[in-house]
Amino acid sequence: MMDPEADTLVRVDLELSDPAVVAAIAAGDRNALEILYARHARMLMVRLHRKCGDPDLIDTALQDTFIAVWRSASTYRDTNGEVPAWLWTIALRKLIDQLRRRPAPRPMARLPEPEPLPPPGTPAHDLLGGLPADLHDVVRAVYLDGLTTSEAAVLFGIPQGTVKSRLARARPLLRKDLR
Amino acid sequence: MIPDLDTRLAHNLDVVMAEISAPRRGRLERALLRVHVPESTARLVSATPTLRVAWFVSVALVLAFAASAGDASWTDASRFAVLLTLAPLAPVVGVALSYGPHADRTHEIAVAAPLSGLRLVLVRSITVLTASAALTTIGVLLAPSSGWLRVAWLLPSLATASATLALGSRFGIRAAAFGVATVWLTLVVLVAQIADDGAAPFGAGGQLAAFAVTCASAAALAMGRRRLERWDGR
Amino acid sequence: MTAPTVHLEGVSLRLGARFVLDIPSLTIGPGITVVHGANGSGKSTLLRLLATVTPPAQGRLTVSGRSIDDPSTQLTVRRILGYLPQGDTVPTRVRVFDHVDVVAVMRELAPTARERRAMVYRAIAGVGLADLAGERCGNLSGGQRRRVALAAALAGPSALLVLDEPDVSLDDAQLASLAAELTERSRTTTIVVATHHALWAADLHPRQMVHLYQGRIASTD
Repeated sequence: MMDPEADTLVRVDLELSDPAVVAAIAAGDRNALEILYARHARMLMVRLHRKCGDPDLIDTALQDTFIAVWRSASTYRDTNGEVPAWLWTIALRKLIDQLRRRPAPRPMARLPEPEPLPPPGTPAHDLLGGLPADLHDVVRAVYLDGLTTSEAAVLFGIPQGTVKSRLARARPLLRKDLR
Repeated sequence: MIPDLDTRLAHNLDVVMAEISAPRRGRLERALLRVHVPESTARLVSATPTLRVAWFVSVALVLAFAASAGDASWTDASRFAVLLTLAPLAPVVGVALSYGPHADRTHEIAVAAPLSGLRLVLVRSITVLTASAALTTIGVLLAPSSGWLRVAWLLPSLATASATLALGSRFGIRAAAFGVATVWLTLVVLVAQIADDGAAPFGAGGQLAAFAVTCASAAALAMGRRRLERWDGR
Repeated sequence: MTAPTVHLEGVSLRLGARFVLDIPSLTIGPGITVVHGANGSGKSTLLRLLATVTPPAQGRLTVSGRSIDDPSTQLTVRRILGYLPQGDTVPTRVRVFDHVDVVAVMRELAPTARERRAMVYRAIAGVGLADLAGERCGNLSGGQRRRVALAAALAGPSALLVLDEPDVSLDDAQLASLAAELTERSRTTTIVVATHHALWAADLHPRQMVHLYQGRIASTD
């Protein structure tokens, strides 16, 4: 009730590109944050669900993501990649923070389904396509999402050594692939 | 595919908007959180106007007056006795000003809320006691004094504050504060007159009596717990 | 808890020789009940009774059949209650968000700080004060302060809302949206509104109007 500004949101939404919305957030525009949320939060939630089985951790990670966006929007540059990729990196880091905070063995109610391959024709698809399925996750997390091996270890709940050995197995395959 | 996704998205947006719109927590509140005071208690302490400016100023003035009272003929000890006499009144005034329908605009809301009235009173009283102790310590450090008399206000302050709470739950906090202050001043003056020594009320006997009053008041508060849960400060 | 039914039986309060309130029998069910009357007619006294602030000196007050004299019933009622008292309840030196948040702490609205603060923000945005969340209440206008108090009462879910003159210092647009919000919530809430603003009271489409005159019920319709 009593909020006459609610309907201006939709109009602005149609006009601005993602980087322009992030720039508006950096300038302290709360509406812009709502717009960014409306555009990307659902996709982030779905993707986070593929990494973790605990909805509470995911909710907190998603909240932390947009709180971090609000505080650090001014650090966004085109060189950070597309806005969705930038958001996803933040979201993964926030999820890992949550997982670190609860080091108790994670009861996976249901095993998250693996992320689907990126669309055919993209470089990411070509990169991952030639790999055995068990290497997809770590390669994607470390080489595409830019996590460290220790972050990836927390994310997948496996020892850091296992992450490193999987990467070591993947590397010659990738090199062959890219040639 | 994911159950309740829309509800969760809406809720998460509310959380985000709240966190980015909420003003930053104050220095006091952050310090309390750092030492693991529960978040709700830290909120109650820091976002309630318990420590009124008027109270702060009046207490500081009283202590300053006490520290500089008398003339050159006064001994340091009797000068210090004035400070010792007035210091235990600071928490009494503070407690009386921090709770009750006359002191707090949100009082009616607090009464109609499920949070225990006793918890609210204790949180505010401890806040007031801590602030009083800090102010008194400053006063003591400024005043010329000797030996253990420097801490002789501590037990009497606990005694007057706890007695105000214990009696307040029966007779109303204002009446209790007035009564406790009167009894305290009368006793101190009487004992000092009889012994012809300003520091006499704060000797071993006085400290023991203050300790006994504190224990009795705490016991009364603990025993009256059930009734106090519903206490509205009147 | 679902919207409760409140029943008063033979309730009276005296101030000296004068009756402040004298109600032989009154039932308030789910939906909106408007208490209408002049200043001093006993409106606020009645609402304080309903909000568990003053116990009835005489007579019985029951909520969903259980007497309010029982401490556990009283606590249950306070858990489902949103209460807006009469007059200025907003401290001056506290910031808007912090005041509504402290009331939310006292009302034990949510188990975690984040959930509670989300409810607080929703309520502040709901009364159109989102941009002033960090402002000290003392810097606000009278109408804005009243909306802060309203946000504190309306925050979170409540099965029982007791609002004493929520319409004071609101402009027409705000009155309309408050009426809309209350009408919306009335389907799942027992709402008691005291006002002497007869036109606005009609906008609420109350299921019951209680007219008070000198502490007695003049008529109900």
